[in-house]
Amino acid sequence: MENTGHIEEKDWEALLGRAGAVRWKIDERGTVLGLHGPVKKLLGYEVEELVGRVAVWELAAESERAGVRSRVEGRMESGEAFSRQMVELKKRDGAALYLQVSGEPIWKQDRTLAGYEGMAVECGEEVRMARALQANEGRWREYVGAAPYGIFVVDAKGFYREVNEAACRLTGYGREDLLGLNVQDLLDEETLSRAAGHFARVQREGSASGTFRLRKADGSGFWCSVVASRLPWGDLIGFVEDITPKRKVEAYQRQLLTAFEQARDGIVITRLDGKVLYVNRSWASQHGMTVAEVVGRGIDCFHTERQMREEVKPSLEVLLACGTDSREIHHKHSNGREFLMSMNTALVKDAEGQAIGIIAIGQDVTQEREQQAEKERLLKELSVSHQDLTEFSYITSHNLRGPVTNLVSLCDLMTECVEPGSEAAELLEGLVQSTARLERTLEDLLRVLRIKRNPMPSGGDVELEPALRAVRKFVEAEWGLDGVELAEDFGKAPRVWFNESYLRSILQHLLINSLRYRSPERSLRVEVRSELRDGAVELIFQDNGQGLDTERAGDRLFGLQRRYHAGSGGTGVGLYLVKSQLEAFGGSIRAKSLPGEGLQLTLSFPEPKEVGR
Amino acid sequence: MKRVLCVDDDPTTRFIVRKFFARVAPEVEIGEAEQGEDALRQLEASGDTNKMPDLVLLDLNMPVMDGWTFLNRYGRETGRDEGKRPVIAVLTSAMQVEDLKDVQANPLVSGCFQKPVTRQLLERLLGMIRSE
Repeated sequence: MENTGHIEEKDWEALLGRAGAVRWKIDERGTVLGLHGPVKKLLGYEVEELVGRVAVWELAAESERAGVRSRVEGRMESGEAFSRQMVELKKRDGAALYLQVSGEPIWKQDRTLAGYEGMAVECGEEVRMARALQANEGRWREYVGAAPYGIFVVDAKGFYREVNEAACRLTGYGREDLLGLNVQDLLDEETLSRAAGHFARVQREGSASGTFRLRKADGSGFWCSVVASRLPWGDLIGFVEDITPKRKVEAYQRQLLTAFEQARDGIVITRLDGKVLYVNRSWASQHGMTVAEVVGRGIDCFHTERQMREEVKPSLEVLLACGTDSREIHHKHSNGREFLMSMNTALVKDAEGQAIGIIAIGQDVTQEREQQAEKERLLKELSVSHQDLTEFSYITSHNLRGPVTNLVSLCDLMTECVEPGSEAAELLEGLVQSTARLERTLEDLLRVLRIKRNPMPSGGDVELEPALRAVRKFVEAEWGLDGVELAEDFGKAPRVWFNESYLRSILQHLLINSLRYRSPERSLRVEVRSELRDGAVELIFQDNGQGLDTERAGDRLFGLQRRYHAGSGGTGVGLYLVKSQLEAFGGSIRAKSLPGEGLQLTLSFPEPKEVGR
Repeated sequence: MKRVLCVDDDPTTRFIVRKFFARVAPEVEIGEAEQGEDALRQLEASGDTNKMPDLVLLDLNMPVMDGWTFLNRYGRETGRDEGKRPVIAVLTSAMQVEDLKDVQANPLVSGCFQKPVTRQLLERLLGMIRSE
C-alpha cells in the first residue's frame, strides 16, 4: 500500500467503528451532508436515510430539539468552534443516545460560512447519569442541597459554577456571591500554592484529595478536607468538609500522646478486661520490658499472683465502684525484683459516660520509701542523741553551779582577809573576775538549756511598758544608768503574746548588751518601740553603741559562743538565749547594724494562734 | 543564843556558811548535817530542849535523803507537836527558783534562796531569826 499519510475511506470507517465515533458534516442550514462511522449501530438508521434528508436537530430527542436547533443556528451566526457539547439523540427504536459533539466551522472562499464538521462520540454511563440528573434539575438540587458536605462545582479556570447550601453555610457567602468568585478567592494564603497543585492534579488525573485552609466571608479561616473530581464536561466538583473541630481534637491528641511519651511517670491504658492497649516507654522500662512486648497482654504481666490477688483486685473493685482509685501497689520487674508504685487509676469513659477502659499513672516510689525510712531512722537517732546531749549539758551545767557558787562565796570571804594593794589582793581580783564570768556564763547556759528542755512555757498577753520599767529598775541598781537616755514608744502595740519572765530576760539582756557595747565617743541612747507588721508585733530595740558588722556576722550573731567584742565581759550566750526564748514562741530576731553606728534589733512576736496555744 | 543547822552534802558549802557566820554573827552556834536523815535525827534528838535550832538552812539535792523528802518527813513527824519549831530556809544552787514552786509553797519553808552564800544573804537570814 502506498504510504501517503492519507487514510483510506474504509480504514476510517473501521477506526471510527472501534471508537464508537461518528464523523459528521452539516451545511449552513443544518442539513446533514455526511456521516461516517458506525451510524447504523449507534442510531439504527442507514446513512442514506439521513444524508441530505434531515436537519441535524431532527435527530435530537424531542425535549432537546428546540434547544439544539437554536444552538446550531447560533453557531452559524458566530462561526465559533465548539467541543464536547452534550447532545441527547433519539434512536430509530426511540431509545436515547448520548453523544459528546465537537465541531469546527467550514469556510467558503469568500469567508462566508459553508457549514460545520466534526466528531460525535458516544458518552459513557456516568455521563448519562449526570446528564439524567441535570435533566431532572429539581431532584439534583434536592440531593445536593441536602448533602452535609459543601459541594462546589468550578469550571476549568476555577470559577464557581454551582454551590450547594452547605457550601454557603461553610463559607458564609450567599450563593450569588460565591458564583462570582474564583477558587483562589476563598483560599488562605497559607495553602494557596498547595491548592494550585491540587487543582492541577484533579485536572490531570481525574481526582485528588487534600486539606486546605479556607477563608470565610468574615475573614476568619477554617480547615477543611477537599475531595475533588473532574467531571466529563470539564468542570470540577469538590466535596468540602469543615475539619476544624477534628483538627483540634487531633492536635490535642497529638499533644497528649507526646506528653504521655515524655512523662517520667509510667502510664498504661487497658481495656476493662485488663488487656493492655497502650503503655508509655517509662512504664515499659520500669517493668523491664519494651512497649511492643507489653501491648496486647494482660495486666497480670506486671504483677505476681499474690500482688494481683491482694493489691490489684481490691484497687480494681474501688475503681469500678468509684471511678478512680489511688494507692500504692507492688509491681514485678521482668527480672523478678518487686517494687512499689504509687498508682492513680481512673476509668476511661466514652461520650455517653460508659466505662470503656482504664488509665493508670504510676511512679516508682521504692527508693523514696527506703530513703524516707532511712531519714526517719536517722532523725530518731539524732533526736535521741540531741536529747541526751541536752540532758547531759543541763546536768553538767547544773552540777557545775554548786562549785561555782562556792567559788563566789570564797572570793567574797577572802576579800576581807587580804591586805588592800597587796599582790594577794591583785591575784584575788583576777580570781573574782574569772569567777564572776564563769557564774554568768553558766547562768545563761542554764537558761538556754531550760528553754530547750521545755520549749513551750505558758504564754499570755504581756504589757511592754511595765516589763521595761522593771528591767530598767533592775539594771539601774546593778549596773547604773547614769548618762543613759532610754526612750520608749509602745503606742502602736502596747502588749505582746509571750512569757513574762522571758520578756524581762530578753529586755534585760539587750539593755545590758547596749551598756556593755556603748560607744566611748558618745553618750548612750537606747530606743525601744513596738510596731504592728502583718498582724505580728515587732519590738525594735536600737542603740547608738559600737554596733557590729552584721553582714559579716550573719546568722552566727545569734549562735552560741559568738563574741564580737574583746574585753567587754559578755558571756557569748546572751543573744543565743534571746533567740531561743523568742523561737520557743514561734518568734524571731534579726539585726541591722554598721560598725560604729549602733545596733538595731527587730524582735518579731507572732500572733498566738500561730503557735498553737 | 541562836542556833543554825546547815544541811548540805557539800563540805565546802558548810565550811563557807560556818565562816560567814563566824564573821558576821560569831554568837550563832552552827550545827551541820550531811543530808536529810542526819538532820531529822539531830532535830529529833534536840527535842524540846533548848538545843533546838532556830534556823535550818536546807539544801535540796543531797544523797540518801534530799530536801523534799526531809520536808515531807519533818512535816509529818512534827505535825501533832505544838512545841518549838525552827525557821526553815531553803538554800539551793538551782538556777530557777520559779521551778521550786512546791518548795516555796510548803508551809514549813519560810524562804527560798539561791546560792552563792554572800554577806548580804547571810544578813537576810539572820534577820529572819533575830526578829523573832
